[in-house]
Amino acid sequence: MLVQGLMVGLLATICGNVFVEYLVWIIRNPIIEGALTGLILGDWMTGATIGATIQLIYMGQITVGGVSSFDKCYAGVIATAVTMLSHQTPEVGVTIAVTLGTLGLLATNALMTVNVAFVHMADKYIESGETKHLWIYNWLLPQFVCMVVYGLPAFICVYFGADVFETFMNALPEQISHALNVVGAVLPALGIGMMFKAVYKKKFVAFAIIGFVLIAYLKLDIIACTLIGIAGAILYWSLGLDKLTEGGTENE
Amino acid sequence: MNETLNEATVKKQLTKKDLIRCFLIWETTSESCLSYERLMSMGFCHAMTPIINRLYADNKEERIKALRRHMMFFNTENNWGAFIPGLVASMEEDMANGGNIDEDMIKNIKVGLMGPLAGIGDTITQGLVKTVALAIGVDMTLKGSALGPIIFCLLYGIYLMAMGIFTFSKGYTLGRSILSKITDKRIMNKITDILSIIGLTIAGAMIANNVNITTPLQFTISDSTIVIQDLLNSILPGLLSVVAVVGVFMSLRKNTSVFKIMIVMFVIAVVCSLIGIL
Repeated sequence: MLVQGLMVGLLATICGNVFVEYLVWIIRNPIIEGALTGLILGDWMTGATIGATIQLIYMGQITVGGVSSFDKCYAGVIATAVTMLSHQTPEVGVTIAVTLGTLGLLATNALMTVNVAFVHMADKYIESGETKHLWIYNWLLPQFVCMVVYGLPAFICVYFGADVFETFMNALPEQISHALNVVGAVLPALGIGMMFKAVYKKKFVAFAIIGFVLIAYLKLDIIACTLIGIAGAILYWSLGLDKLTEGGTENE
Repeated sequence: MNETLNEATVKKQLTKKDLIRCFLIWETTSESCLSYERLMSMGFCHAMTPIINRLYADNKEERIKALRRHMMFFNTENNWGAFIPGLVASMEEDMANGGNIDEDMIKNIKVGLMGPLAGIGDTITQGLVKTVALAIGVDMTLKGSALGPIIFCLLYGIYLMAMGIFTFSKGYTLGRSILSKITDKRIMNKITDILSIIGLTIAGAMIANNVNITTPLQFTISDSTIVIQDLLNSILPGLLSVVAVVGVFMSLRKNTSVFKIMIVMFVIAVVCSLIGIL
């Protein structure tokens, strides 16, 4: 457990803040975080399934100015680890993710507040006209803070928490654990709702119905739906339908 | 150092290596020190260091001035926003060679561009492209494919890299002339139209696929059992899921906060499960 705990802690540190900007855009999503956590704990597929289920509630989530309504590291890495270690269903994982993701906002706040001090230190440093050590302020020091606010809690959860969580979850009355499962089943509606808001344009609402019918009645898979969506987009242009709607309905 | 001194007497020019280093630092640490006070300020300054060191190698005063002006408040979306360091690099180069660009112009262009590019970038990258890529990855994973997460990485990763390289290099080579095109409402509308069609198709599909709200309710009336879920399914498969998603969507359109909606759903789910409806 020690090695696994340290590795999950490292993963949490990497996902918590920006370790490598480009990579973070990709890995800091519960589906990837879940899969990687699963890999460390010895089961890629379970981790990926839990991560993907958690991902559903954050589907249309847009982070603006670095401020989000949940913490992606707590909701992704730590929640998956806790769910896996206590052998719970992905639906319970969703409930855990929502709780931890909200709690994790404290970590984000702490980090972005402490970072102010590093910016001021860098302000003094650049007065020397040198740039050689700028990376220390910009990259290295924030990583140490991340270790404390992300890595450490993740490590504690895995190293000390495994038995505690399992005992706790098993001690819950039947009704409560059923309720947790129901919450986990209902919350993905939030993610899909946010997704609708992100892509919504009034004039294209028919495509949502098409997509629904393709799956609910025709039982196609999502790739087929994507292709039909692409075909719809191509037709929209090649038939010149865009010219008919131009001007009238702006970004609605 | 000698080399740069010689160059200074002729014409200060950024090498390809400087630009690549600038781009790589941008893609590595631009948000590492995100702070409440100035957000991406230090990330931007750090990315500009190869440019500053090349152009003002022999002039400490100018170097400090340049570092200071890039430590100002800055915040944008990283991938579309890569346009800005590219553009600023070309402006710094012009200024160092005594062109008609001054410090205020550089500051103003940063402030003027970061907002619009963040708006476009957030909408297209996070709202549309990422959502579509996630939808495919999540669905594959939940259907039991171990490749789901990897497919998402590939789709999203290729888009991000292509977008970053494209905007950064266009920012440097074409400068402000291309800007009117990027922010042209008509072109942006075309892009969002296409992504909206694809996105809505997938969003509709995902209601049926990934939201699974069912009721265990059943009544027994004189020997025959009526299972409510079957009844609902014969009206519309996944009726409860559709109702939930439409409800959430309506509240989001009314600008209700995500947090509030989450709490309400939480309470409804717990109460309904305790009285046996869900």
